Amino acid sequence: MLRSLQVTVAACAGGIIWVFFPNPNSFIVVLTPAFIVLVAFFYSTWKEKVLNMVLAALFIAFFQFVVALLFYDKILLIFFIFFASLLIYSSVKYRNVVCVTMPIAIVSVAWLPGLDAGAFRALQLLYAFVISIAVVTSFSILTDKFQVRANLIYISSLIIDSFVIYTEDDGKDDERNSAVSQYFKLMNKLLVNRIDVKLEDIFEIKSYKFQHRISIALGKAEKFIFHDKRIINSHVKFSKLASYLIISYRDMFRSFDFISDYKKYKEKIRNFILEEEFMVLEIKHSLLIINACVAGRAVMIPNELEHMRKLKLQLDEAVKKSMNENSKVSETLYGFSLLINELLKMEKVIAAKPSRRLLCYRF
Amino acid sequence: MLPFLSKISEEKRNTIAQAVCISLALTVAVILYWAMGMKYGYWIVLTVSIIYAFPQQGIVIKRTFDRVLGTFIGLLLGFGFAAVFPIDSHMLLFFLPLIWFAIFYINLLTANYWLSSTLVTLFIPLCFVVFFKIDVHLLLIDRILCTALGAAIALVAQYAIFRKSTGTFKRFEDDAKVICSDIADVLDNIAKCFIGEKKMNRDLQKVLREIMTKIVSIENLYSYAKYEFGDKKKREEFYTDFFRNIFGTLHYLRKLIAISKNDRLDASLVQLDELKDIVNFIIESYKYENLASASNTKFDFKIEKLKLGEATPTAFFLDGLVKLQEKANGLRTLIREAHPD
Repeated sequence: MLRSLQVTVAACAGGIIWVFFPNPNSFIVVLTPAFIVLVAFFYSTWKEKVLNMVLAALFIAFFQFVVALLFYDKILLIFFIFFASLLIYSSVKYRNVVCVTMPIAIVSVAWLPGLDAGAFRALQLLYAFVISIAVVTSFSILTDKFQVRANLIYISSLIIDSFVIYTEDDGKDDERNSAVSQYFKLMNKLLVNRIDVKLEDIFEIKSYKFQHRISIALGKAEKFIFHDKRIINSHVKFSKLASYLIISYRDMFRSFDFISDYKKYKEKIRNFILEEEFMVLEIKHSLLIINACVAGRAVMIPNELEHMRKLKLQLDEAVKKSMNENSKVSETLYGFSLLINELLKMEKVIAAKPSRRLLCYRF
Repeated sequence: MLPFLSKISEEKRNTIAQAVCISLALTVAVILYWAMGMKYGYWIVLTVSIIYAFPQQGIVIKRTFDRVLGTFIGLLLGFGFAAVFPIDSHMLLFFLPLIWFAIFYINLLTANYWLSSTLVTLFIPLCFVVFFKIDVHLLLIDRILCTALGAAIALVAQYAIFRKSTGTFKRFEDDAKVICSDIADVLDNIAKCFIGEKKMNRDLQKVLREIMTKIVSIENLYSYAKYEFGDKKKREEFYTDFFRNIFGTLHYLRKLIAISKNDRLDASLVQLDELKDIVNFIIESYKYENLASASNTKFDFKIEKLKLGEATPTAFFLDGLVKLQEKANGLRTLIREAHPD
């Protein structure tokens, strides 16, 4: 959504310039900023973004200028188009830039020829570049916290859904009620070709689908939160806190790998933890509290999850007792113990005073 | 092969071959545009350049058909639109940013190219009508003609010029090599941490992120590979098995990381040297050259002699290693079948 908005705003800004300075040669300024903005989406650091946007603008300007200059000598122009595109498409490093901007560059064959027209259009690229860099920068600053928080909420919801799938009976439909699951159900329709959605069909086990979803979501969130250098101080602090939470969620996600057989060994687990259903509910409740804190809907009170500490001690005892039992039972109990450990770590991070203030920041 | 080409890496050679294919297609499109003398004939060139925005064989083929289908549907909708709305109204000006937004929103959200092509076919003629007062019906007919010609050029070029170099398998191999080497790195790191030789490396997250990035890259390759020329069923089976195997590997790898973060080796269950041998053995078996080698059988290994019956973190760790070895064997079979040597 934000990316589409950036592309639209860039094109609209170009359109406004064209409306105020209507010239047949300046129509290039309408759509070009949108294509330069598209280049920025391929890169995560500011340095890469700016460098490649400059390259994109220079490439279009050069192509426009040379094509306009050589227009009356068709043979020479054909040679130029062939060898120039051969050269630039042969570059492994800058291929993304070329592929995205080529449609705007090559369309110069249909524009007014001549030195003046070519030079004018090449200069118009300066406007296009300024618009695109302004759009990318302003969107990045204005929506940074929103995006970081959106990533956190998404991962948090996936973790809760995943826990429900691992622990609750198939008959219950909690998972269907979550917004994330609704989103995936909607996505998994005929018209969607996204490979991350389509690929889920190859997994026979439902829990593997969630593992895939969470792995991808964590990868994307880490790329966004860890890679982007932030200028504004509050954004730096917020992303630092978010990075702690992301690492905790990753650790929590690892403990899920141990509880994948929970439903299968539920009865045997009951021999070691009498209130195992209560334990599952307690963990789910804690996950929901953390989710509410991450979403800014609630504030974590220090030691709010204190009762989980007792539960962890019980689980550690149960792991020891179950040593000579089926190893899967023991492994599952061990997984719950790890999960509670991660929950307690997260509680500490969220309940820390400066973090609490940051998390409750409203947009 | 020309002598100077043999000095260039295979990846670079493939990229050059793709560049030759694209350059020829673009040049032919430009010549055709001039030869036909159509007013909007540059849409032929535009179609070729947009189809080649992702120059992989499968995606070029898919995008070609999607573009023609989308343009055709857009054409029908465009005629319908022209019949219902006063097409020369300046009120349409306000629709343009909305359609432009929808093109990118739908494309980024669904990755469905024919849907966005449909909207592009609505958008471009509307732009011309609003800004230059041109007859929309003729414009739409020109549009479908030019798109069909551009699509035909792209498809013929893709089929006729260096077809093999634009296939996905080479890129799959490059990514798979990185994944395997990263898995071996992670395993080495967590084993050292588990036996207490060193603390968990801070770069581990970075390596895990790299593995995930490469897996996502292979997922994209898979989406293109489905549409490549040749035996589609075999290719689909290969990628499906690969993903099942690699996500299984990650499942056990995550378990090992969790154990090594929270517990240490219990020497009564397995000796330190013995564990090191096992880990080194698995690390070796994850090396891509060993996975791809046909003659190598020494990695068929099982940790049967160890006391796996006991349920302690060390036993879980060993169990995880056994499962990883099984996954390595699975990967080896898969990659060796793809590489008959």
